[in-house]
Amino acid sequence: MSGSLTLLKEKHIRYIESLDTKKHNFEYWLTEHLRLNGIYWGLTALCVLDSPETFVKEEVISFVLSCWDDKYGAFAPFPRHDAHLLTTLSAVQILATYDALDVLGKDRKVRLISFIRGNQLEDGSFQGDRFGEVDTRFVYTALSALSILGELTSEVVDPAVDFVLKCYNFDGGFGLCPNAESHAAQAFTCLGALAIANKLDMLSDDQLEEIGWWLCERQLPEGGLNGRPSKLPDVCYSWWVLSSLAIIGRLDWINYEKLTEFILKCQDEKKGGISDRPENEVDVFHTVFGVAGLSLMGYDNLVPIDPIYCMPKSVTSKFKKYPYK
Amino acid sequence: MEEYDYSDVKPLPIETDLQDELCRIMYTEDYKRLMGLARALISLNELSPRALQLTAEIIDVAPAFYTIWNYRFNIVRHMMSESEDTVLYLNKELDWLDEVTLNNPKNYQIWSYRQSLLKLHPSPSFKRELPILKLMIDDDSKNYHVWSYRKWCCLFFSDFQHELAYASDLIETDIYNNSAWTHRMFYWVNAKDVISKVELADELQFIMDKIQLVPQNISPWTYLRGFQELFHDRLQWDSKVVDFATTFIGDVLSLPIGSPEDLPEIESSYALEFLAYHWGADPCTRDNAVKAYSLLAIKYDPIRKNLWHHKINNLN
Repeated sequence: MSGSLTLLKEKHIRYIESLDTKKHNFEYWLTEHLRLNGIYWGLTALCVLDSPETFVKEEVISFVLSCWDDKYGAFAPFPRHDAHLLTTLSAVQILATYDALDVLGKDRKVRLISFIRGNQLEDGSFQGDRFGEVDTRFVYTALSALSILGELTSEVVDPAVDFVLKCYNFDGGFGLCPNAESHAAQAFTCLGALAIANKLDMLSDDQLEEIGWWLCERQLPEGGLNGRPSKLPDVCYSWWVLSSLAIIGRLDWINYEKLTEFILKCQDEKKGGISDRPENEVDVFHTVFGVAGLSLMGYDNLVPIDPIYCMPKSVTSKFKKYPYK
Repeated sequence: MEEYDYSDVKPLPIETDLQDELCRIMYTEDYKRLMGLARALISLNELSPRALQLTAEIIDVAPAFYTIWNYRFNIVRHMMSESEDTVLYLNKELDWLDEVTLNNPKNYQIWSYRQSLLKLHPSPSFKRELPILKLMIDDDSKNYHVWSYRKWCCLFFSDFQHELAYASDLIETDIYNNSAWTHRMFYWVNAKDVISKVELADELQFIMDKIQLVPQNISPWTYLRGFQELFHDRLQWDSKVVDFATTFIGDVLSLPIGSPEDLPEIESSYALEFLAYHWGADPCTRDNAVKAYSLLAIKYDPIRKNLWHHKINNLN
């Protein structure tokens, strides 16, 4: 029972702290393309655990700036890689968390905004980079980044909202693109995008009921959540499903006690960190989504997290709300 | 594999002042050498056979490194325009991509790269894509990117002729495969205007047969509800479907709601849920709906009891 399990806060903090010191590891080089995302995940987990100072702020900011891709005017995951929307959002999230968006300067900010807007396609969707991989993740990413920068416009928002609504499926879920199978991560990106755009009212009451049903249907009798019907549970869905339910005001349709127990069972009691399911290898991705899920359920006075932005509420409360007055 | 000379290229190294662990050094050095060369060639925008070869080597080691896919696409587009036979050239590229695909089932850059190649291709063919799609689904029958790509192909080629039979096959193999059920719905949505009365009846029979085999399987129940909604203007099966669903809940509706231990097991909580949804829509059967939701909350799906209580409140 969850009564006997507790969140090993200190161990998780030490685990995240240790990640960036493993540069001798081949894995480290193979995951260059995720480095900036990884730092965002680590920093956000540390914030939820009330220990942001574990990372040295100046060093992180300086690394973020070193990932600036001057050719395309946005952020790459690692110095000399190509700019990409996903890493651009991570960069903006990290800087906003540190209340340091000013370090961008006017020129970089202007180019960044034009990079994001420039990746929007005719149907309102976004491509991740100029190569053209399209899905609802990128719609969320673009709207979230622009929102954090306070630069949403109806020219961007309205077609993006139309696209997101086309990804709604007959079963109450959302897919990666129109017609694609419903997937819990896509529920978050679609509902998050609508929430940022202040357009949740485009969904009817019946649709919200269906969405809530599809989301809470992800909870398995043993407590964990899966991403699609008849799939295995995975800790990361503690974030994708819970944040989605929180956005539509139906968080209590999940059984907290059982889910909490499942997340806590996925902790590595020796070295810290959280894995996808019990007994598996931990990583920073599942660690942040595990603690963020626990925060949404109000577990143990964790620092409150914003279900729309996946950032501390103390940070997001300062964002300008769209439509701007 | 052809050997190319890169000796004139001055590699742009990864910036690092770290010492490598001995056991890793060979692999890491090789990887660093490749990346250093790639960075140099990318910065020169060299679109050549040796650059193409280099991208293949890097994709072999780090397939998720999207920059290299971008670069490869630029090279292919350029070399294709210079080749004598564009079709042959692109087919060769697709052959190479098939190999990479088989070795990297979880990678998703591959699929958008494939879409870009087909858009570039003067005479693309769905038939050519079917074997690799089949192999990938045989390997992982719920691979999200493969299913999405298959749907993209149907729409890109406006060709749905294989889809219903394919979905049936996959459902035969694994009745719980929600991706296959979803694909089936995708087929009907696109055949909405041409479906015949016979097909409608056959499809209902198909769904009921599958539920009969495994009653406690959420996918066909959700599909059944979706199918009814899609064709609500042409369907009159309400009583048939309700009678069918009722066969999976025993006599629980007539039993007093006591403690969970006193209630018998039923074959399908989804049947009970389906019936509750149906009954809730009609004021005459509302009491049955309330009772069904109560039974779900107490005994048959207690983990979602807050949802069921919410449904009951809505009905009252």
